[in-house]
Amino acid sequence: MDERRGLLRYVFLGVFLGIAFTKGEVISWFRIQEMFRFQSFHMFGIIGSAVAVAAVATGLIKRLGMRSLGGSEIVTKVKPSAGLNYRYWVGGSLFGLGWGLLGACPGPIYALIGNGISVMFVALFTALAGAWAYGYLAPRLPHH
Amino acid sequence: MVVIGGFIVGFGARNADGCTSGHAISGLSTFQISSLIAVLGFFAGGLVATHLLLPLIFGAW
Repeated sequence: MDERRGLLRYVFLGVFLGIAFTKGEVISWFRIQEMFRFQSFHMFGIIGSAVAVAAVATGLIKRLGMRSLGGSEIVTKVKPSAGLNYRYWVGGSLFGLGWGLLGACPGPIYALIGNGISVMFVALFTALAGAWAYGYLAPRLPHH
Repeated sequence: MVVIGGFIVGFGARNADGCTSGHAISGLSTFQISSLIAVLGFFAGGLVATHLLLPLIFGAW
């Protein structure tokens, strides 16, 4: 398959995801707050149904041996679980702190910028700085 | 808030090797232990931010 045509399809999928994030109010600071205050089923429903659909979809992909748009084999990335899993506890909790403070996780940062919420350029920049800081400190951090 | 929140979102996403979609959706849907732990962490962090940090920053509301 023509590589560039494959890439264009990913662009359309990205646009579709951005519209879904926006229409589903996943990018809403209020929806995130509502979730952490257990005031509405909204976000739990979205994440829960996404997990259910993804579980069925990845099962089908494996069973039918489906391939990606670019024609390559689809392999599930297994994130290794070892020892006390320190990195998932600590990294996960830090991420959650940021999620609660910022009211957005990485994907919606882009969708918010697309919606004209320009302060999210600041969040994008500092998130990149955070990712860079992790990369810098990683050799000295315990991961297991 | 945006600066610090953004920074730890970036740091945490790489430290935990995934974010909401990577761990909660892709990871849980393929039944991975590491993702379950990460999602518990996401929620623990989010609860602390919402119920402890935000009231500290904005006062009780």
